[in-house]
Amino acid sequence: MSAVPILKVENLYKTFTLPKGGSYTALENISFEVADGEIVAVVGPSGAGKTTVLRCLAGLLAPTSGSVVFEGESITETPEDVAAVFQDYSRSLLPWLSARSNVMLPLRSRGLSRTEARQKADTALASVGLEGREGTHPWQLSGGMQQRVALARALACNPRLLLMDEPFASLDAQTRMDLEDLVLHIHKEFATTVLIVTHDIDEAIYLANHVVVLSKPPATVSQIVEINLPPNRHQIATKENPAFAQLRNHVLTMVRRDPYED
Amino acid sequence: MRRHTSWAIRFVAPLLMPVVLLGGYVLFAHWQSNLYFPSLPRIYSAFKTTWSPHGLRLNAWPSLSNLLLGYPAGLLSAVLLGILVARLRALRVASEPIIAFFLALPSVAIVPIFIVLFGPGPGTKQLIIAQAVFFQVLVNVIDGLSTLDPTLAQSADLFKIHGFRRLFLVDLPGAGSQILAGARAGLSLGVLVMIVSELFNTRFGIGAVTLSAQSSFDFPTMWAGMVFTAIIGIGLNGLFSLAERPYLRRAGLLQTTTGA
Repeated sequence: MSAVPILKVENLYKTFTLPKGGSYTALENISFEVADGEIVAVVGPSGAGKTTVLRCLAGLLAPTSGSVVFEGESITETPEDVAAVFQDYSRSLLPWLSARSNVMLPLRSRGLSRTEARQKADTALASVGLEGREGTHPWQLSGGMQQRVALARALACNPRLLLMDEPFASLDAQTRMDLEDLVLHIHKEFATTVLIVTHDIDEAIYLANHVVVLSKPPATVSQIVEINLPPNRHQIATKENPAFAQLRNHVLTMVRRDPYED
Repeated sequence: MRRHTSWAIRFVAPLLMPVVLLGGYVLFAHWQSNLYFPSLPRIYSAFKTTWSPHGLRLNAWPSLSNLLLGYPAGLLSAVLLGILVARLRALRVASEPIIAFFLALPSVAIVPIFIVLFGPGPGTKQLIIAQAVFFQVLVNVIDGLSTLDPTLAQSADLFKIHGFRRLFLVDLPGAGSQILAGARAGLSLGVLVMIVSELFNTRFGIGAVTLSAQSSFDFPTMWAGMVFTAIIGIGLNGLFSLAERPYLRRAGLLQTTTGA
């Protein structure tokens, strides 16, 4: 993996004006880098602004100041090579379209022919384990399967950067583990750079090469923790590793730290 | 495991209310012995006479043909204009009072104005029906398209789904339930206005027959007209339910039990 940063966030500030007057600073001077081919997790206490960061990275929200540089260019809208998976799968997939049609939609919007789009969609759905279910509608599928469709939709676009906003938060623990391993598999197979926002510390450490820890709002980067665990992660073996527990304790302590204490 | 709705619920229950109403009417008419409430057999015989094949051609067809032209015209124009208005915030805000005004105007009051403006022919009636349907549906189209799920919109924005694809595959189906509700309300309104439009200057029509029977004290025929109108309304509503099923099924809104 090269050390060229595919994503560079520099001095990101985001302030919201409140409807009744006054302002709320969600993000204060956020800076970090994501190298090509890495998996980076962003964690922080609830309400820290993790989703706000992700929306700025996705080009869905304009920062108040600072820059988000993707592949060397400052972004103003969602870049071509970026795709995302959101937490609420039932409200981000279109229920009146089949899984295949859902996955095809962004491809068709990019100008692919129906045949091409269909082929890519079927391949993407197979790579997330949904072969044979291309014709089903999202509401006919379980939560885990719906999120796989959302993942296939993102993957079919061949993104260089995959953004994930608490993608497994709405799923049960075992499904979560299966999907975490799916992300690792996809990362290995397609060499996609992944940035995952999560409140689940275990998940962050399990998946990532680096963990960006945000503080309470106004959120700054408390620390960027390097995860030195062996690369072939395994739900049981990796979590048995004493280094895992140490890293977990370290990150958890930071996330739970009261900023007014020290 | 799917639970099949029992035979009793599917076929017997819907008939209970009409049976109760009929029974209630029989008792009431017998108790009142009033000219205004003739006995069921007399209503039935008037019904058979008024709505004989000849009667249907003479009076039912003109009214229904007006509805069959006026309703789709109102519906389609409302959807088209609604799409336009929903897109432009300024237009939406500006049009709200006008739409509210026309919605509040009772159709009975509008009929004479339309007749003066456009003459007494069937075209005028179709126009009156169309405008009533138009405003009813318009309000729902604008509302439906203005209150789309932001999470869905966020995904569509991210994956750059724009233009006609966005309109037909994301926005309109997203507003589908609301638009269908408006279209259904518009249908009932259309039937009502179909009758009302025949209040003045009309010789042939369902409303004309009913109203003329009323003013000549031929109450069995009047009731025959009202019952016929009710049957039309129920029938059209039933057809509407059938027509909207494919959309509801595809959108997963017909689920009574979930798969997983």
